[in-house]
Amino acid sequence: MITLTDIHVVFSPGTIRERKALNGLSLVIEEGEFLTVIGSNGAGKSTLLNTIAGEILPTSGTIMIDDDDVSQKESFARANSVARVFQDPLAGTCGDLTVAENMALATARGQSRGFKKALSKARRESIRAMLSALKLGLELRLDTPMAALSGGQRQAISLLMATLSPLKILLLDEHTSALDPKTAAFVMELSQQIIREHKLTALMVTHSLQQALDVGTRTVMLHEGRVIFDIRGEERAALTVKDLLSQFGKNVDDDRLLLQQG
Amino acid sequence: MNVIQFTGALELGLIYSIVAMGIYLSFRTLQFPDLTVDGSFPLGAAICASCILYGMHPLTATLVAMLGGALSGFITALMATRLKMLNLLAGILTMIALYSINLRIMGRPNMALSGEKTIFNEFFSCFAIPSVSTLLLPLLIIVTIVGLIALLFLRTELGLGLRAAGSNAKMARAKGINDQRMIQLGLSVSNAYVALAGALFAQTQGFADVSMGTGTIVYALAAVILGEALLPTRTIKQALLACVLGAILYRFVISIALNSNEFGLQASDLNLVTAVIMVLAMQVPALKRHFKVMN
Amino acid sequence: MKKNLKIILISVSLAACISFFLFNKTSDTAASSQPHLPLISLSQIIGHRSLDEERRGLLDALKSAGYIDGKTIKITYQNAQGNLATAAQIAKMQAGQSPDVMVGISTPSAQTLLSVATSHAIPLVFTAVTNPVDAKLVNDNVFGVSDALPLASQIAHMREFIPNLKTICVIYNAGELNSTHVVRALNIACEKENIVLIPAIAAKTSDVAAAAQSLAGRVDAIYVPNDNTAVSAMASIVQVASSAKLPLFASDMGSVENGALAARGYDRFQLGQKAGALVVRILRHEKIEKNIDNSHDLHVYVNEKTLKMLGMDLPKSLNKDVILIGTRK
Repeated sequence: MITLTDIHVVFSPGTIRERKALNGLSLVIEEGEFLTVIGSNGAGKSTLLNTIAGEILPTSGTIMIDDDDVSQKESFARANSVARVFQDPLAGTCGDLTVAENMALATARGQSRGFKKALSKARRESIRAMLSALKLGLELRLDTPMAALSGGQRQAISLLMATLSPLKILLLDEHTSALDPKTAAFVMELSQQIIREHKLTALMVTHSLQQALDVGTRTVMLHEGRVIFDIRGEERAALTVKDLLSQFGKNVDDDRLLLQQG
Repeated sequence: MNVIQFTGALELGLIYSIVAMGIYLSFRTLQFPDLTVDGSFPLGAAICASCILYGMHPLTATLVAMLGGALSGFITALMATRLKMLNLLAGILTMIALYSINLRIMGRPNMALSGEKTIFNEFFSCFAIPSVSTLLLPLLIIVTIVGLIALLFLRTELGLGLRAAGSNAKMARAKGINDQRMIQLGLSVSNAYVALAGALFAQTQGFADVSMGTGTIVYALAAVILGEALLPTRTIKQALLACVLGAILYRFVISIALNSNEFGLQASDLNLVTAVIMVLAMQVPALKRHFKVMN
Repeated sequence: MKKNLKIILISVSLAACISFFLFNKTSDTAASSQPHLPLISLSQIIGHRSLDEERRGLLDALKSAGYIDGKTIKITYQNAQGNLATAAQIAKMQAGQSPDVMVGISTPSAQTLLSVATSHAIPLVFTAVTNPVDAKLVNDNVFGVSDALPLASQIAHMREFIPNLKTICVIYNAGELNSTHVVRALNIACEKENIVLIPAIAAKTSDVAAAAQSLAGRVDAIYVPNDNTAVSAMASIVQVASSAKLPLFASDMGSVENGALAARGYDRFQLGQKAGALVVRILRHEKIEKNIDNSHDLHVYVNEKTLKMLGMDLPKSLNKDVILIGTRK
C-alpha cells in the first residue's frame, strides 16, 4: 500500500521561476489497484510519478510504502519497491548494453551487486525463456545492443524488466504515447496482461480520457498539484468520456486534452 | 627501423596500453572525461620510486603506487559527485594538486632509479629474452593479467552496474544502482591502472620525473580512438584489445616520425609528422568501407 | 572523381608509411655504406637556447678534431620536444643504430640513454647536467660535463654591483632538478652571508612573469639560475626588472644578451666543446681519468645598455675579466 500525505513539491523556491508542482496532494493506493491518472499539462502528473519513484524529493509531506517512510530516500534506495516504464523508450533502457545485459540489470534490481558474473549460463537461459513468452522473437536477439531495437520492442522489454524483481508499485509514465497506434495498442495490452498475471499495484499516467476509463480499476484527476476527482468501482464503470469532459470543463481549459477526445 | 627501436616502441606501447585501458574505463564506460591521469601517471612513478629507494620490495611498491592512483581517482569522483563539480573541472583540480603532491613525495622533481631493484630484475628475470628484450615478455604478461582483470570485472554484476551508470544514469538509478558510488569506484580503478603504468615506466626507464605526466590524457585518448578506428569494438573484449593495439600503434607512429629525417624534416618537426600520420591512420575505416563497396 | 582521388591519395600515403616503417634502414646503413664511419648519436630533451649552444659547441669540437659529418663521421640528432616518453623511444632508436658514442644533452635525456647504453656497452657522454651523481649518471662507461655553478661566488658577484645587498628573489621551476639543487645551495650560502632569499616559483613559462611581479617591490635583486623554464621566459623577467628598476642577475650569457644585467657563469658553447673533447678522446680510445668534468672557466658577462638604464657604473673590481655585451635585437 502506498500512502502520500500532504505532499508539496516546489521547484526553484524563492526565485522568480518558483512553481508549485504538487500542492498538498494526498493519495492512498491500495494493494492490487490499477490507477489511471489524468490531468492537463502542468497538473503535476509526471511530478507525482517522479516523487513516488524518488527522482524528486518532496519539499514537505510524507510518502509511505507499506510501513516504510521513504519520503527522503533517493531513487536507487527505493528501487527494490518501485519499478518504472518511461515515456521515452530510450530513457528506460541502456542503449549501449545488449538485451541480455539490460535484463540482467533488472533481475538484480534492489539487491546489492557483487562480483558474481552478471550473465551466467543459468541467467541467460531464464532470460531467453522470459523473452520468448513475449512472442516477439526477441529471445533470438539476446546479444543485440538495445539501441538497435524498435521503440515498441524496447517498451515491451521495459515492462518485462519491471516485473523481474519483487515490486510494490509499477509506475507507467505515458509509456505508449511515443509509439505508433498499432504498437501502442500491443504494449498497452501487454501491460494489462502483465499487471493481471503478477497481481501488481500500478499507476499509469495517460492523456487519453478513453484509455483512462477503459484500463485499470480507479481513475484520478489532478489539477494544479492536487487530486480533484477520484472515482472507482461501479460508479467508474458507468462513467463516460463526456462526463469526464464536463468535469474537466469546470476546471480545465486545455485544448489538446479536449481535442483528443471523441 | 631496427630491432631495438621496434621492441622499444612495443614496450612503451604496452605500458601506455594500461593507461588506455584506464581511460577506456572512465571516458568510454563511465562517460567521464577524467583529466586526473596527467597527475596520477607521475604519481604512480613517484610513489613507486620513493618506496623502492626507501627499501621496499618493488612489487609492494608497485601495489602501493596503484593504491595512490586509486585514491586520486576517488578524490576526483568525490568532487564531481558530492560537491557537484563539473567532471572536467574536478579532474583538472586533482591533476594540478598532484603536481605539488608528487614533488612532496619525491622531495625533488626527478628521482633516479637505475641500479635499484625493480619487478623486472627481481621477479621477471626468468622471462628475459636475451639479445632481444628483457622487458617485452614480462610486460606482455602484465598487460594480459591487467586486461583480464578489467574484462572479468566488467562482466560482474558490479561491472554491469558501472556500465549502466555510464550509459543511462537515470535508468540505472531506477534499477537500484547508486550511480555516484559507481563513478567513485570506476575512477578509482581507472586511475589505479594509470598509476600502475607510471610505476612500470619508472622501473623500465630508470627514473621518475614530475613532468612526465603532461599530455597523458591526450596520448591515452589518441590510443583509444585509434584502436576503435581500426578494430571492431562491439564487445568489451574487443574494446580492451583495441586499447592495446591503439597504444602500440601510436608508438609506432612516433617511431616512423622519428625516422623521417631523410625527407629534409628536422627533429623539431616530430609533432607535426606524428599528427599527419595519425590523421592518415584515422582514415582507415573510410578506406575499408570504400573497398568493401567496390567488391 | 574527387572521392576516388581522396581514396587513392590516402591509400598511397598509408602504404608509403607502412613500407617506410618496415623497410627503412637508411639510418642504419648510412654508417655501414662507407668503410666504417664512426657514428655519434645526440639526444636532446627540448630545443632551447642553452642546450642548443652546448650542442653547437660539441659539434664544433668534433670538427676541430677532424671529424666532419658525412665525411669522417656520421652524426645523428633527435629532439624529444619536451616529452619523456618520446625521449625513451629516441634512446631505443639510437641504440639500435649501434653508435660508437651516445650523447645526452640534459638530465632527462641522459637518464633515458643510461640503461640502453649500459646494456649495449656503448660509452655515454652527458652535458647540461647539473648534478650527475644525484641523477645516478655514475658508471665506468659514463662521462660528462657538469654545469654546477659555485654558489658562493654568485653572491660575491652580485655584491660587486650592490654592496649592501639584503634580499634576493630567485625565480625558478621547482620541477627542474638542476634548479632545486641550485636553490638549496644558494639558501645555505645566503644564510651564511645574512641575506634573505625569497623564492618565486613558476611551473611553466607562462607563469614566469607573474612570479617575477609578485616580488618586484620587495627585493634588492633578482637571480635566475640555469633553469630551462625561467631562462626561456627571460624576456618577461627583463621587462619586470626594468620597470621596477631592479638589477637582474642570470647564470648564462644568453640571458645577458636578452637584457639581464649580468651573469657570472660558464660559456655554454665552451661546455659543449669540452663534452665534444670527451667524445673525441673516446673515439681515439684514449683513457679519461675523471669521468665527470666540473671545473670550468667562469666568465663575467655584463649588458651595457641595462647597466646604463639602471644608472650604474661598472664595478672597478671586474674591469679586466668583463665581457661587455650589447642587447641582442
